[in-house]
Amino acid sequence: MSDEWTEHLSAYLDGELDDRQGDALTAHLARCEECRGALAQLEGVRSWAATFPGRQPRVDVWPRIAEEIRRRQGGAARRRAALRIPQALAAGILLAAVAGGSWWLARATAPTPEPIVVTQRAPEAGPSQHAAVLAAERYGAAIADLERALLEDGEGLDTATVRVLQQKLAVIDRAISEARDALARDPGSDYLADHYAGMMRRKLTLLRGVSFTSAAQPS
Amino acid sequence: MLTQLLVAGALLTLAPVQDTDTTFAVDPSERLSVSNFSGVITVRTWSRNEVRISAEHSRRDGIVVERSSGGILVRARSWERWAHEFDVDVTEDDVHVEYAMPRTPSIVEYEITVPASMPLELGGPFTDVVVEGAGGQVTVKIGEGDVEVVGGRGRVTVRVMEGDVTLQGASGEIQVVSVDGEVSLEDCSGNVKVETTDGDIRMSNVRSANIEALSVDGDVWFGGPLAPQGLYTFNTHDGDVTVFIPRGSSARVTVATFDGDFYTDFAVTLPDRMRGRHVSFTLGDGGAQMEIDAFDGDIELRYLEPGSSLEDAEQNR
Repeated sequence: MSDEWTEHLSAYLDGELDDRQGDALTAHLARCEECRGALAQLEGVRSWAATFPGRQPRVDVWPRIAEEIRRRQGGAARRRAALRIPQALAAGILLAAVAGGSWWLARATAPTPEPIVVTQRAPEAGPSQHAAVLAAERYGAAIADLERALLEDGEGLDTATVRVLQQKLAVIDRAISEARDALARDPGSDYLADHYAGMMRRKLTLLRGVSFTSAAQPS
Repeated sequence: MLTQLLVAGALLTLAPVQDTDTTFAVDPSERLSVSNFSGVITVRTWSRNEVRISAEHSRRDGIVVERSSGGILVRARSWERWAHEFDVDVTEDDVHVEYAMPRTPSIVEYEITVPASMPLELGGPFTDVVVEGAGGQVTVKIGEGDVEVVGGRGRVTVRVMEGDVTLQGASGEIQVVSVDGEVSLEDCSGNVKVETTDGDIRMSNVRSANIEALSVDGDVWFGGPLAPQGLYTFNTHDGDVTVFIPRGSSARVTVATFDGDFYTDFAVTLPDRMRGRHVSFTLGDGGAQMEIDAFDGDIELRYLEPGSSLEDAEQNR
């Protein structure tokens, strides 16, 4: 798959290429299996996004998005490589498509709460998208595992401590949700991508640190 | 656990109180670990190579001092690892299971005196910790309770699930992690990393070339000089960040807020509307690097006049 074509797939799907570019890409797709696969992924994500109800995302929706990207792209080793080679652009476009789709759905079903500048067309993949994808890839699965262990098994902690942790996780979840919403409205913002990734990292740090009380007990 | 704590409190109220008071010689380089289920651990220092342990506890309980190659461990006899105990007796035609729960750990109020340089490791699920005059490493890990440390050298680490943390005069590698509570550092120096999920962070007269202060839901204050090549990160999601630095400070500064405003005493040309933006500018020669992020809050970068405290600066802004 070549950079030359990959970067135009999103626009192709949205019907935003001019006739000459569109015809050329159609011809390329006829002979390039990888690009057809990437296009199918984009279409799949767009279809998936279309089934997403028009409401504020739930707290745990992002790990599922990350999982979906992971499942569609294959194993972890390939995923890491994909962020260093041209397929990274596809990953960025996937995120852009999700962000754009979410924004579109939110716009279609709910009034925009604030007059914030919105990027109407998902931009080409850039550093912000990659940062957000990396954040989801790095933190999403680990967060889900740790959260499950905490909430289901209690990690050996007493109920009062678990309750405090749940309250504080809700604080971080709210922050993550707000950062994610802001990023969806302005997906080109490096600041928002960094802030979102930072909040994800904070949640992971909190979950990894739940052994305070256990560590305080004599062995 | 709360019920058990209340029961423990009731037992302490009903049970006669007894004092333990013992003094023994130590090598000041040994580590002293004190683990307390509930109550208070107060540690003071003196110039003798001895440890004195004074503790108030239930008459039914006692204080255990265990020495090993790893140091000295002090705990109440009743404070074993919290676990259920089973006795299983199997006979030819019967299996008898006896279940026993260990006695509720006592509430203990320790007053311990140690050599000034002695490394300290203090903690427990429901205990306050007070350290005065520490000259060595200090590590505190508690579930619920407040921590006040005066002094501490080398590595000062505090981890608190729920409670306020105050450090004064600590120096070295300082790390404070609090889930729910306020963190206050005063007259500290060295590399500083402070994280809290729900609480304010307040740093007054902190002299450091490397500070990272992170909150999710809380305000962040900093007052102090900037080192020429220092790195400073002040970050909160839902709160304000207020930074007081001397007039002649040199730093490359980035401020970012999604839904707040930026105010400064320094001569900086700013965009008309700050919201949803981040801006970068250089003060002086730009030696240090400072990043300030308040997603949903205001950012203030103010003058810190010579000799004025953070409180003075706040009143004069």
